[in-house]
Amino acid sequence: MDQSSKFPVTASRSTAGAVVDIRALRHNFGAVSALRAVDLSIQAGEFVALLGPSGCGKTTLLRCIAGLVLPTGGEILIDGQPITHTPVHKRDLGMVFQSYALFPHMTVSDNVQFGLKMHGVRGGVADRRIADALALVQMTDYQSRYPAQLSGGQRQRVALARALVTQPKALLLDEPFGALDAKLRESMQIELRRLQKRLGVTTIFVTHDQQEALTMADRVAVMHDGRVEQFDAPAKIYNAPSTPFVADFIGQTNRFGGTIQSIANGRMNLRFDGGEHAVDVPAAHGMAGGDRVIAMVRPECVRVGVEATAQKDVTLPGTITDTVFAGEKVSVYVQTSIGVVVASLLNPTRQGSGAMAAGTDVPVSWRKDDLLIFHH
Amino acid sequence: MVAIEVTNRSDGRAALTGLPRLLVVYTIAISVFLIAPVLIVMIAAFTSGDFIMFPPGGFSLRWFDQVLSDPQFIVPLWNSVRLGIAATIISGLLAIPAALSLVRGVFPGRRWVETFLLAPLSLPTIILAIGLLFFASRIGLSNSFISLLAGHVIITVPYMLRTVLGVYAGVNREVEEAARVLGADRWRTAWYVTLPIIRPGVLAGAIFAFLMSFDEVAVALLLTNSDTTTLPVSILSYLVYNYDPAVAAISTIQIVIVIVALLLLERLFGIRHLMFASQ
Repeated sequence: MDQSSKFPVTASRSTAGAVVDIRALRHNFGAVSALRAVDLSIQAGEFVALLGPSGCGKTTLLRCIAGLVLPTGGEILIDGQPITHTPVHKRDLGMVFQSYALFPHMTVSDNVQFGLKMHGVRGGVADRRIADALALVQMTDYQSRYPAQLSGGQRQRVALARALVTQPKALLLDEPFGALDAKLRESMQIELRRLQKRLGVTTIFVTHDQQEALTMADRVAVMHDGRVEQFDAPAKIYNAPSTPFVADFIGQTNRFGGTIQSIANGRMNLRFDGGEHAVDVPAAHGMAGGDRVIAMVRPECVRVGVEATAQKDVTLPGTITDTVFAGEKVSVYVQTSIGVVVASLLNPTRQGSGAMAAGTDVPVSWRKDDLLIFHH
Repeated sequence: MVAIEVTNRSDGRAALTGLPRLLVVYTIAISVFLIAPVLIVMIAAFTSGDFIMFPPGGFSLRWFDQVLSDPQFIVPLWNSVRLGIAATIISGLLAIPAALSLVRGVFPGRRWVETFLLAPLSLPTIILAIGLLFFASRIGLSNSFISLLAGHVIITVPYMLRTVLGVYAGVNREVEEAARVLGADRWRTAWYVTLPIIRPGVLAGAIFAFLMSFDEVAVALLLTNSDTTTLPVSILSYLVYNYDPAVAAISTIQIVIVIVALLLLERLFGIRHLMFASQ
């Protein structure tokens, strides 16, 4: 499937994309702050996902970069040049919209040609670049069709070709796969990622789908309430969330209240609410004795039953209240003295389903290192 | 359309109780009621006799001959066409930019501007005509082509605005944003993207506007003189003293002009409109 060798012109543009710097960017809609001092440094050729719930400001941030929204304050730099007040049409960016936003009155190739025409690229050069762009997204056979005659996935490919044909400094995508069904979305994700790597274009991708963000991006900026909560590699975001919001938003977590009882010799003693259970963990920065904390643990880090007794870090007796079958894994809900603990188990039927029936008394446990502790 | 639907339903044997049959009869009756007077006038125009009668007494084109060589009709006909085209173009120039900013713009009083521009729809044209007559004579423009044109522009702007607003409000703004990100400034976005997309609305509005102007009596009655008189006015004043088939002939010509204009627009623009209307 890799056709890069066939398209020399396209391949030759795999020059590194631009560096995008966002500094203390703010935006207010009336009294509502959509962005509160956002800082992001995006490297050349990097694929960054802006991830967050709706209303977190991710789309506003993207539209500020595109120039479709004028920020209230702060700066945007592309390759060191401030573009905060550069009009949209002079920014040399590519953008793919959730609605595809193809020009309905133009054929596929006219759609792709539009950006070249606006940049004054004509004649043979333009024809070659249109052909390359269409080949890149495998839409060559559809070039004389109108958007209304294409399927959702095909429209998305055309939108991508249209955004890339002008060789933009950066590619911006606003929930581009939101309207596609799950199978198609996955194949488009793989395709986009492959294309992006090959072209080396700096890419900023807005999504509310954490799976999409984690699988595609080099780095993920998790946004919440107009702020970037954490900007890190996907594995870091998942394994070492820096705020309770990130821990909560990404994946599933068990969340417990607790109190720091004492701190000594670089260790702190954490007691969970509602029980006498306490655990010694490495002291976190800025914590003091008596502090209220939130302790979290991922369901897949929790062991249940026989497996639980092998691990001694945190072990609690409990009773199974529910098991929820979800294909390759099963969620087991266990009532313990510190609250309900959810464990996510892989293929537990092998262990005999009777062992996980509701009402069974089982121990649950997890390792100290798997605890995520945050200030309350 | 309704008749076909009804027959389909009765084909389904669900209810041949006579109600659908009644509906068919009703539909035909209404259609006849609406179209028959027009058809009768058109047919009567081909009479060879000296009076309007139906069925016509013999076939001839003498009345067409007569009206087409009679400056009493030809000058007003030309005036009406000129006036209709001018009013359509000017109301387009006013209404299209207005619609664009009313749909996309965020400015105080937006609703008021829209209401103001659409207000002539609900204003009796005779009131408008009287007002214009006083105003035009006060500023020394009474009975000029300009004041007549102004009156017709006021009447036609709402029709243009309505249809363009309707189409443009349904256009995804991301399409225009995409054009701008691709390097088109606002003017080029409007020219290459917005206007082609709203063309169906513009054309429908233009047809409405032209027909409204072509057919308008009240303003024309008060604001025309013998040089600028329009076809409806001249037909009206001819009818006061005459009852010969010349009126039927000129009316037929008027109807044919409208039908030809509609067919031409449909032929030129309708097909491509249908092509991407499904989006």
